[in-house]
Amino acid sequence: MSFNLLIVEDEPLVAKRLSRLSTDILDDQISALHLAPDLDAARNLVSSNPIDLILLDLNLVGSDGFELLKEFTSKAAHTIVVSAETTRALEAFEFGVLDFVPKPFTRDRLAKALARFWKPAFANEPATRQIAFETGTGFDVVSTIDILYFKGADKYSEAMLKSGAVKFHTKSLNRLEDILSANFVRSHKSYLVQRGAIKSLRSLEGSRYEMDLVDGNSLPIGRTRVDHVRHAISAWGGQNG
Amino acid sequence: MIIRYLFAVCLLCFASTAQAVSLSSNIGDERQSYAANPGNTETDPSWQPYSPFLKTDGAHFWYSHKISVYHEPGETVSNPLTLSVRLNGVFDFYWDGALIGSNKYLGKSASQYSRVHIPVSGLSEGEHQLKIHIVALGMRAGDSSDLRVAVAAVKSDFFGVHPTVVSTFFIATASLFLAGYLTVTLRTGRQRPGNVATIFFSIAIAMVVLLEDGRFLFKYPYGWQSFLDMLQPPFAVMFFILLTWLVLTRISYPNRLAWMVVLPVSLAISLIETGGIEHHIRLFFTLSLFLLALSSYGWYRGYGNARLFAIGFALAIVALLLDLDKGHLFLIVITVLFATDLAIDMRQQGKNAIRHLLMSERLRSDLIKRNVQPHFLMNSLTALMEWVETSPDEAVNFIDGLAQEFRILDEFSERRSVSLKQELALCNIHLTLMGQRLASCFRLEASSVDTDQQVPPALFHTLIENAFSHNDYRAFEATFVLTQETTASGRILRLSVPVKNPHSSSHSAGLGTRYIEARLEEFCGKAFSFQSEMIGSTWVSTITLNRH
Repeated sequence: MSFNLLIVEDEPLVAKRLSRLSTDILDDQISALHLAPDLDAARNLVSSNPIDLILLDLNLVGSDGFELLKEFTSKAAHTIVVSAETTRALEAFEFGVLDFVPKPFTRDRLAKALARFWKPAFANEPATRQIAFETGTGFDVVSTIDILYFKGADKYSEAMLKSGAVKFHTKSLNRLEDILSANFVRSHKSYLVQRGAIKSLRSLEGSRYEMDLVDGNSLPIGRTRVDHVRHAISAWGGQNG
Repeated sequence: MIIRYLFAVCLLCFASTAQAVSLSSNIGDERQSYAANPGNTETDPSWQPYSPFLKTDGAHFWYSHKISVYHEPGETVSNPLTLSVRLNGVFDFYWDGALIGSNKYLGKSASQYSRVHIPVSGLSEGEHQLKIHIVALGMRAGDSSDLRVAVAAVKSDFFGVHPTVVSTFFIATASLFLAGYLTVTLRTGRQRPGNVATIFFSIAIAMVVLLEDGRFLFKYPYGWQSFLDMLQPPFAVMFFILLTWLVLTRISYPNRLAWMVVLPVSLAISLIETGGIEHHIRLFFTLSLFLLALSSYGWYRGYGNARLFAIGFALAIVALLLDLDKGHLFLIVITVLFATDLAIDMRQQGKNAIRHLLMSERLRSDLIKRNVQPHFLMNSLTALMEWVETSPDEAVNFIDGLAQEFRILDEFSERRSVSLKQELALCNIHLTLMGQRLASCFRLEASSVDTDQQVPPALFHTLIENAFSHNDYRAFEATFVLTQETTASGRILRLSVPVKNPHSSSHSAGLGTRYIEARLEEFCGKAFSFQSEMIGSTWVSTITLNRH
């Protein structure tokens, strides 16, 4: 599987290093590699190309790192932060980045980060706690515990919030699962459910299963995913004590 | 023992009250026989009404006074009566014709203060004759004999404390103040308002007390007294002017010079005679009332330490009313007031010193942190990794420049100022490093500046770093320009940096700006200004350093 990579970095030598090492590591897995030295160039490239992975520097000239995080994690592509500011690592993970690569970085460290595109989360990493949604005028940041579940909609997703509101996210359900698996379970090919939203599981006639939610609604559970859901609920129950 | 002495007035002789006392004087030592024959003073026309001023040089006097002694009903007198005597010259006291005391100083100098005991046997109820023989050795015609006699521990003493103790207290306190204010002035470089005035105020207090009461404390020739008396008024005037000025200054009153009008107004009001109260006491009282009013208003308006002075002057007025005779208690309250003000101020100075120390330490730590500032250091290290793997020669050059920059910053971190030459060297190294990293060419032009002048460390280095944080200088040739202008009040240094980025107009008071302002404050106190603004296509930082 090949993909499109975007490097957003204003330091020429760092951009050159990222580009050189990424090409070296991924080789023919990269179908296109784009370089953006500033925010405007990055925005243009994202809007005009199907970008799959973004390597993002949080210290672009004249930009606020927090705003960059919100903006880029709301995109369909996965984000890996490459930054000197290690103090922002936790914040980055809470926004759902795949990895945080501190500068200076070696080839091995970058290779490890890029590998997460295929094998995302590590159990001991901070869970994603906030999701940024693009709006017409900017970004809405929503806490993950305020989301009941995500519903797949073609290449995109819809988030059902506890408040009853519905929000649209450009990431596919698969990519959301990559960054949300610590607190969400994929119960169906079209549903990714937040652990706090699950009230109970019910078996129906014909070996079918349903999941009752705290808001009174029910969602179907895929036949092949029943064990996975039970296992996740059991693991969370253990964590909850 | 309770004895009620019916003196015409308690004090026998005061210059201002002398006419109220039926005293007589006669010049000449041939009158000694009068001691044994008191009646002669009333019949002999050569005895004159009392005048404190000598009519001839080195005159000999006789003073005579009748005193009635009354006992409380059923009272038994068991202790002698002690008279406190103050006089310029040598004296002998006679009680009903018998010699009861003498200061016995027949030399060229004498201490003025002495005491004379009237024996118990002489304190029978009824009228008695007190005669004093005075030899005004060394004094000239026109000088004051300054004779004062009072019952000890009743009026002449200050609440039972010997006058010499009170005098010593005042002189010692004034000297301590003088030392304290001198120390504070030397330490703070005249930054504390009123410091210099307080030094002269302390001198004035010490001199007035010394000139007034020194005769009780030290021996000196009788003839000096008239000269010393002439010195007293200028110091008294200095005391009143400085007291008023100091209070207004310490309260931080606006228009202080105009408010000094309270002093002549107080002086005019104090000229009104009131029931035998001495003029300087009346002046103390009137001036204190005005200063109380001014400090109370200042307290209401929230000026400086007006509250302290309002409370202080309220207490001083109460103290004056309790001790109308000499005003010693008043002066003690004023002394305590200024001591409290000084103590509060010194405490504040101590806190400020600690604050400055902490600020210096913080600035040092900021500068050290600048060495390892993540954005600069980590990007530099990443660039280095790339060069090591792809172009080792570049890596060597960069490491050399980086080492030079760190070495200079490390050296700067321990200093409060550096020469502009050293500062420019640091800036140039930084520009070379950034040029290498960003594949650009940067230059610093500083041809018209005095490179020997002192500036805070890493001042322009920080401004240049700020420029890199706010501008996208990739593949860009930029010239930074430092200029200097000398004015009547000091010097102005301007650094112009080229702008190449739409975000550059958002330069803000970030950490760099705060570091610069803190460094400038450490360098020259408040005698500076710092401004940054966009002028045309450059960002100009203007640093004005005033002479201080």
